[in-house]
Amino acid sequence: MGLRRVNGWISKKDADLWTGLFLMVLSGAIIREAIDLEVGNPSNPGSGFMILGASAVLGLLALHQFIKSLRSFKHKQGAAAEEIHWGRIVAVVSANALYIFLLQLLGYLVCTFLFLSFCFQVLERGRWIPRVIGSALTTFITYLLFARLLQLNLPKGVVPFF
Amino acid sequence: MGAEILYGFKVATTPENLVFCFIGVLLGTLVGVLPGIGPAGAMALLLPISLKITPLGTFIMLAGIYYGSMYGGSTTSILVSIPGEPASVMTCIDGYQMALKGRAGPALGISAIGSFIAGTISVIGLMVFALPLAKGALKFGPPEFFCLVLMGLTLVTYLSQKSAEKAFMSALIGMLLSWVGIDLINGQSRFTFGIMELNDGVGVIPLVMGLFGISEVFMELEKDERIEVIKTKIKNLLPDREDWRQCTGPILRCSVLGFLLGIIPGGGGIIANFMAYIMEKRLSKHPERFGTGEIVGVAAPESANNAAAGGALIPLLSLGIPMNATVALLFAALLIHGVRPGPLLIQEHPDIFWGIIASMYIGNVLLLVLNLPLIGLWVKVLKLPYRIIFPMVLLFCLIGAYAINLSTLDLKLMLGFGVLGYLMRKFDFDTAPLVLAFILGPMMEVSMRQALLLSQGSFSIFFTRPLSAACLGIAALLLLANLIPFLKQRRKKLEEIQIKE
Repeated sequence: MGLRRVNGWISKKDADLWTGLFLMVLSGAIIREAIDLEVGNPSNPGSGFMILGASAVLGLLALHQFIKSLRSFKHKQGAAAEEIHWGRIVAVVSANALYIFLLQLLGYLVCTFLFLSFCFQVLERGRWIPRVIGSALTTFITYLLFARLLQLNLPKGVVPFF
Repeated sequence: MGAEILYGFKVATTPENLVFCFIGVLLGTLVGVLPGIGPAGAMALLLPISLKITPLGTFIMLAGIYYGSMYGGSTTSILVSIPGEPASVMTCIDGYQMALKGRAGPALGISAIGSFIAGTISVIGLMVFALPLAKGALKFGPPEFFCLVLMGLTLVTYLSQKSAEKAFMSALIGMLLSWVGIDLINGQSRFTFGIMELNDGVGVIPLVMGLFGISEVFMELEKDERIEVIKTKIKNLLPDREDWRQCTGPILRCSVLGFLLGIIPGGGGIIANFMAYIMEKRLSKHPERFGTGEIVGVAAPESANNAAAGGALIPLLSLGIPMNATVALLFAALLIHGVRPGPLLIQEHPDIFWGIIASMYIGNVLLLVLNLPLIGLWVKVLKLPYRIIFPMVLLFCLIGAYAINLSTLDLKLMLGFGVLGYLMRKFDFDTAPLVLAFILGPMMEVSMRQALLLSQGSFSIFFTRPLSAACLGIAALLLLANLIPFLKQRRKKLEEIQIKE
């Protein structure tokens, strides 16, 4: 069951097949957890009662989608017809993950400045000086707005004097 | 009712509430004008900040974003032919054609004035219908609430823009996510994986910011589009006598239609916008003019989507049940402040109920003032490069999610939901049913378990009480309606196979 790419995105059949399979496995895992939680009975429903019902229905729907896509021979085009800028998306997701990971360590000011400079550069390459100035200004203004005006306790990190 | 309305104006016109109303409608117009960033995303961004202000101020501001975005959406539809909001899709057709013919001014003018009239009619409707409905809802018990929520969710999945089956799966995932944390009835921990912070459940703010804010940015990042605003002089914003003669009837009719469509679950501005356009085309003596720059084709859908925004607040304020994802955020905002929307809201918090209604009158006037004279400003906003907007949206999401509990777990959850939302969109899953089910999930679970405890385990309690039976009947009919095309298709295939054999 290899993936067939159509204009930068997998075909609808493959997308449905894999999401169906994934949701079936997920619902199986949830059903097991619901049974462990104690399902109870209708006169005394337990913590897993509704979870069992909802995950069972999810599993059945996923199974239907899986079978439907297996039977379908067509490889229709996926949701996105245009060429997708995967590099940008991966870069921005990674930048977000790094921001979250380093926020406590480096602090709001350093992290935000680096994050904005990186994002501005990724979205449109060009002269770096205006981007660095823009990032520094935005970092400082948002710091004033959130930390000073709205009194949010943002992490100080390596810049403890702010 | 007069005294209550005066009281509402008294609380809504305090300087701070006026400022919140202004900020709300301004931001609403802004996100309406900018394609890609919807009212749900903007409301999610402001939820953490709203913790610092009063519940009434929060609701006034967030509701302002909701109905303000309906106004703003028309500007982009008319000048760029891209709907600023999904609820302005039909406005593009005749609005853009009018702009091409040099009539962008009257198109923008009639859409703002029509929106104002519709908004005012829907606020009056809200005032008239919410009170008796809330009084009736006081008699509802757990079976009625369970069946109402079930019917609402079924309708939302039925009306989904994408596959109803996938929308149903999306709603089930939302429900399952809402049950993470301590069981409200017996205190048992569920799906917390030993993480203490998850005992309170998954936060609504990281979920909504991830699904609506972050994933929206990811979706836009994959494209390389530049917005081309039509080069035309925007003059004569006020419609002339002939425009008025043509539009008065459609504006009034579509206001009522939009208001009614707003009340039904999953309805809201998108369906109202479509239905109004179709209805007016059918009623028109010159349906052939639609699509060529007919002013009624702008006035009708724009009036309907604004009226729907007011109508959608009725089930929220009187029953405590949000009927679409954006209104679900208003519900979440009040819950965060410890205020539970529902039948008791009018008795327990009359300041909030009447203050909201009065603020909507004020908001509508502010929107008219903001939209007509400041049209030049909104055109400039449309030209703002996305390379500046997107990093800012991401940054506000990060700060917002962190600000709630000062915890990086919320940030991780938000990023996770952002990626999930992006993948859901790519795989044609609607995210709105997930959010709605996430917010209604705890109510659904508690009311079902309470109903079963009341009936000593008999499911007949859901069928023997008139309202719950009616709701279940509607839900069953909708499910059947979904099955019919599938069965027909299957039958056709079987017939084809038989013919071949």
